[in-house]
Amino acid sequence: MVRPLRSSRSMHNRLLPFRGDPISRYLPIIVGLLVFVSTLALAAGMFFYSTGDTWQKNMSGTLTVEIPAKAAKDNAVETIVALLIKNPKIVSAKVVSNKEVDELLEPWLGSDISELDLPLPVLVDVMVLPGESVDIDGLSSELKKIAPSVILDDHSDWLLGVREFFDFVQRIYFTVISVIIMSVVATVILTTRTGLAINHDIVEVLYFIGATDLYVAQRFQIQTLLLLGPSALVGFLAGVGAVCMVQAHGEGVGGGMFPDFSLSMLQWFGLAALPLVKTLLLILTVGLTVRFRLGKMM
Amino acid sequence: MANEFEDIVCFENVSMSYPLSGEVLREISLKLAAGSFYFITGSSGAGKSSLMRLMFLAHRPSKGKISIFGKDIMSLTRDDRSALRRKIGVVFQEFKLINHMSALDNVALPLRIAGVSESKICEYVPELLRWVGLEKKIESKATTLSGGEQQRVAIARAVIARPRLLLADEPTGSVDDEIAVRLMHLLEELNKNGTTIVVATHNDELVHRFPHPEIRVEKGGISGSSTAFL
Repeated sequence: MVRPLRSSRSMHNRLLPFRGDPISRYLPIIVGLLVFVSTLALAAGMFFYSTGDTWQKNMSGTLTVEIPAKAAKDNAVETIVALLIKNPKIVSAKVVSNKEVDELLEPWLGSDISELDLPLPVLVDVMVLPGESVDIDGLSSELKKIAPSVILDDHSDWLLGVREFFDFVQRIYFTVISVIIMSVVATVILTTRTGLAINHDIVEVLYFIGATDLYVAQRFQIQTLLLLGPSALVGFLAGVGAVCMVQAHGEGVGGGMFPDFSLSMLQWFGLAALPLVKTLLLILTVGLTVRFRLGKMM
Repeated sequence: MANEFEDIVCFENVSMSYPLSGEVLREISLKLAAGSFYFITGSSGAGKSSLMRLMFLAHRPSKGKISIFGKDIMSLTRDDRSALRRKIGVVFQEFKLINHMSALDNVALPLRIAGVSESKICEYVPELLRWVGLEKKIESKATTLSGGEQQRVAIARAVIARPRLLLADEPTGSVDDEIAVRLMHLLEELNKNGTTIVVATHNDELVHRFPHPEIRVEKGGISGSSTAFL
């Protein structure tokens, strides 16, 4: 039986070997680490984005009326609720039950709050019509006519602070990701230029037998993918593994005060898009670098 | 159609210079007819290889006009030049094989660049390697081949895509006389099939043995007895 000729297509893909130079040896490790860090940074950035967004959505459109224990007498609470409901921009005004207040305070004061006999204020949870805003100063002065010590809180002060903090953290994370991506692009450009210099003779032969710039660029793209693809995939999978571990270990740790570290399905898809985007970027970078350099070389 | 078979190569007052060594070719005018066989002769350093480099578009002229297959090379885009090179086979003086690849892969390269299917490559390449007497070396790496074998691989690579113009720069430079003669017979066979052949050599014996017109390069200019000149 005649042995079939050894398939040569794979050899053709390795037409331009990166011949074990230091860059080719260490670059996969560096790229793997960069992909790992960028996966973590993206996951954290997305978590902060969604958390900030959720808090903003939950808190905007709500008001809290705080009636000190001393003032919550002589039908003051009912009068306040009635005044609130009369406002056309308010959907509902609900007195927070003692049980709910106890639950809110439980993390700090323990489960036997009622036995402490604390002068807890009465809280009224107010929902505003979506998209509408209430005249806080006007409403507050009307409420103070009923009970001067009543406090109307639209959460805007702390919400603004929280929002700004989340935006800042988020910007930091996305800056980190951008820096990492720029580092990957820079290292890929360096590798490609080194590869071109090392393989100058082969590139010259390819040109003399009719290869186009596109053909040469494709050989480099394949070679770079073969060199960096596996380590980038490992870095990404390790990053995903780390995110899963954080998610598993962080469940319930916030005690209701902080949201659990978890990503939505959409965010997981976003994370999964990271290696695809990086691969596309890598292919594009290699292709452009090769074509730019070839224009000067040949 | 008639033109296609007339001026395969046309040089009009072509000069060429290298940045460090200055002008190496001066005011050269020549025409090579389709289906012809020419020797380019001259002493070492006379400019034979430079003339060949201009013909396979490895270098641009510093002056004058070069037309290959009727196309002015200076008006071509990079991709057009690549397309033109695919119609030209080149046997380099130093072979320029890709060392980490087998004889088969080296010879298959022009076909792969042209996008020929693997099944056809597996059919044509071994057949051609058999023709040049390398049937037992198909899977041998280029570095394991002798000088003569490497040269035959280089020739096979140059002719595999059936070029219309074959340029061979000192193809007999590193082989013994017997192989040199066999090689010339091989080139004549290709010429009979319609390929225009240009062989640059300083082997006068070979030039006398095979009666083809000669273009002599001397001190950057050309002279000779052929009808190649304008």
